[in-house]
Amino acid sequence: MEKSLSKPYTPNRWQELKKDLIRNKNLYLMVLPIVAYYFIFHYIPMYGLQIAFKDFTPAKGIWGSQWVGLEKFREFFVYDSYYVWRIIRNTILINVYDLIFGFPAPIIFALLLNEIKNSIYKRTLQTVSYMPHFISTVVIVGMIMDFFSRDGLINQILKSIGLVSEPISFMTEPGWFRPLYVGSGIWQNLGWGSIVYLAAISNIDPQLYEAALIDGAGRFKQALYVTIPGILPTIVIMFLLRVGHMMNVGFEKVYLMYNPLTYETADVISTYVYRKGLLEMDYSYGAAVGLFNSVINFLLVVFSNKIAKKLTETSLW
Amino acid sequence: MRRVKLGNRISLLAIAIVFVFSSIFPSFVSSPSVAYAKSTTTLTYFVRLDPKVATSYNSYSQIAAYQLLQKKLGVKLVFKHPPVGGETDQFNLMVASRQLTDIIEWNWIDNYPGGPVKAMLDKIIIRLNDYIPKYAPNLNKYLQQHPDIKKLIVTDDGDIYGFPALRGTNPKIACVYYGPQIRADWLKKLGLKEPETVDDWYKVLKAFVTKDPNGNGKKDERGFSILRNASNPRYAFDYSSFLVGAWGIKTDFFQVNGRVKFGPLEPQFKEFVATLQKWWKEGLIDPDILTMNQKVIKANVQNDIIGSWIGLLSGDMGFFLNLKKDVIATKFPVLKKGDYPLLGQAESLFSRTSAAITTACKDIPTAMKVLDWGYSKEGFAAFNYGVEGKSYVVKNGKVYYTDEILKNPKGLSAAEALAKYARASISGPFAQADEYYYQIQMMYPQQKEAVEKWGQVKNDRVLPPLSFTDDESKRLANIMNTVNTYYDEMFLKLMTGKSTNVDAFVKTLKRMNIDQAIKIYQAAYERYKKRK
Repeated sequence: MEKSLSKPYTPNRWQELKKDLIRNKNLYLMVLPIVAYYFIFHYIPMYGLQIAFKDFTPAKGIWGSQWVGLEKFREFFVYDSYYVWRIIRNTILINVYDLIFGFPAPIIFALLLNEIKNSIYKRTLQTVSYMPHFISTVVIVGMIMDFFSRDGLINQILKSIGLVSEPISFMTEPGWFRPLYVGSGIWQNLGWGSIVYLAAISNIDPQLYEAALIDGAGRFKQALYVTIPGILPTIVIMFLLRVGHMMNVGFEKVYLMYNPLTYETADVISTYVYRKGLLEMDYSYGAAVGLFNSVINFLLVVFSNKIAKKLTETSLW
Repeated sequence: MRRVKLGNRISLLAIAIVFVFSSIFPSFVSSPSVAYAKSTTTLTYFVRLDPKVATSYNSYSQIAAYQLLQKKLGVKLVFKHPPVGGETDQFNLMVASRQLTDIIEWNWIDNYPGGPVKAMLDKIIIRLNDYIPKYAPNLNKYLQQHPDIKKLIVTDDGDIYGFPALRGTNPKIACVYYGPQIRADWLKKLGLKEPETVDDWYKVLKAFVTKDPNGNGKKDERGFSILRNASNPRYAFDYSSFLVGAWGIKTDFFQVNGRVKFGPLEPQFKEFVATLQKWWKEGLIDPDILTMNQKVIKANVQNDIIGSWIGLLSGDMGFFLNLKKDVIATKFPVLKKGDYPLLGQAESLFSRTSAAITTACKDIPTAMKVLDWGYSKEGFAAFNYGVEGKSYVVKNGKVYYTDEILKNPKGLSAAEALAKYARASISGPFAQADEYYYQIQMMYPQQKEAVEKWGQVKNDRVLPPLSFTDDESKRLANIMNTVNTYYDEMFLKLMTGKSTNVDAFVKTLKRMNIDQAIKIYQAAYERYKKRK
């Protein structure tokens, strides 16, 4: 390895690779299915992306359809201009809220769990907090609908403690959509998301805590000066991965939760594309918006990676 | 320890891979050309599985009428049913992947963007005109005898693209099946008469809500609700023209003296909205229609919470009559007492669904023969009545369904019980018999009365099934997709009083080019009138 690095290009490169393949064949064998998975399911389908620039009709197939250039993008931004900004705004806002409230939640939860010394209590708490992660979205939304309906549990409670006189119709008020969406997301993923942070915490050298203790740091100060800096690289990486999904909102959950009355705050890119692209069979349109979405996502990751590199010296690449 | 764990992980991975691949490969293996090569008399048939059949069977091939058909014609039919609720997705996927079945039964007019003309252009289905005289003598004869029905099922160019599902020949009983229903015992208790005018309706609903017609001592009554199409109140009004029809307009496209119009653009629309707003503000409308949960609404009707609603003749009204609820139908409301309602629910005799033969079909003559059977004497009997001696008997030359159908020992409804033998309770490539309507759809006298009352509408303003050119349908889809999202949203906002500005609504509709859409409809309507 040393040799090949010092001489960047040698005619022996293929031989080196061959040698390496033979030497580490088990490792290569193990990684093969993953590579094959990405190749088959993520790279091969990419040739279909061209329909974003074509007027795709099933009769002519992907290759035979006529090129229309940026027509489908124009359709999105010009013809549908009434909705475009609204759905982009909704998509981003839901994500920003999720980032502000949803992202720190598992970190705080992990820090709190870490302070619990009774291991039975801690484990029970952890297990209970994982549970919602395993419930399917359909069931989660069903529960939300039941709890927050006009004569549901939440309204009953609010009424009985005298906070409201008339039941609030949570599901049909545009203003309630985002809090419900983000809040239920936190509830569902709090425990599961904390696993990675707990793992990072357990990797922190205990000597650091002892040193801090000798310097007179209490538990709060220990968390502040030892634990948080210790898991900061993990936080940054998780944040970067999260930013990569900025323009994607779980289609399923929004689709199940929204209705025409809450379109104003709930209609997002993916639901709009579903209605237009799949239900109206305008496949090219769907592909064009999907491509636009991916490009933005890609730029966001590159951009935030750069900032993270500058600020914390931790980054994806 | 570590090694064992690693080994475990690898084997798990291997299993996962096997699963992934095994779920991909069968779809390659069962490609049509391979499957049909063996026998030319096997036909695949895509059709939605009707819930009435699903209570007993999981495939139409188990229905007695289809077993008879397969035996008589020496054909094997393999039905492909999309999962319930995912019909559109599944159909679109089938079309996009071009894994077409031989026969597809579908509403080509509304549920294929661009309609049947586009479906033929896209090479999904084939034009049948040349084959019909040769291979479909029964349909041919039927269409010659009923030129009015032929006009409904052809495209503007006179192309026939499918075997139509027809509601028989008697529009008076066959095309009316959805409308306003009210609790007669509540009316009696409060000393009210059946509402006729819009004002009557208001008074009745007001009394329902403010007095205590269900007698439980609580003010929990809701005046008016929507059952079928609860998922989108606007569609319920689109579909039935309930209330809005009193002003002589529809909520969607309609025509007056040959000119196509769009409801919200008409001045009367404001009055309709004002009335809805008043009803909503005073709590006369069931708030559950906003959360779109049909089950909750149905349960509330059962529990004597809701006093009136718009719903189906057999599915809803029949269901409640079965439960011994005192439900009657009312006429579609009018503005002045004694007026004859201009608009109400009424479909045309062609139910807009057709069984079409696809371009993937290798044996068109056999497919034609199979689909033509429904219009023959034998097929008519099998599809409508089922099996003689089991599901029906003939007395003095008249057909009667047996007690197994009408009073099913296993507790199935008549339509569900019949679905085991015939296709009469579901639309399909045949014409439905009058006996079906009289004996199954109108089992109870209240239902007979309902059909009479709902049938008292002029309905000459309703547009017939139109067909659009490729270009027209593309432009129309662009406009209407934008309009529909906005309209859905605004309709609810106007109803609940969150917005009261109809003028701004109309202005935005105009900005969305609704006028162009009206022009396209007008052109298509002109062509329809010229159809032969």
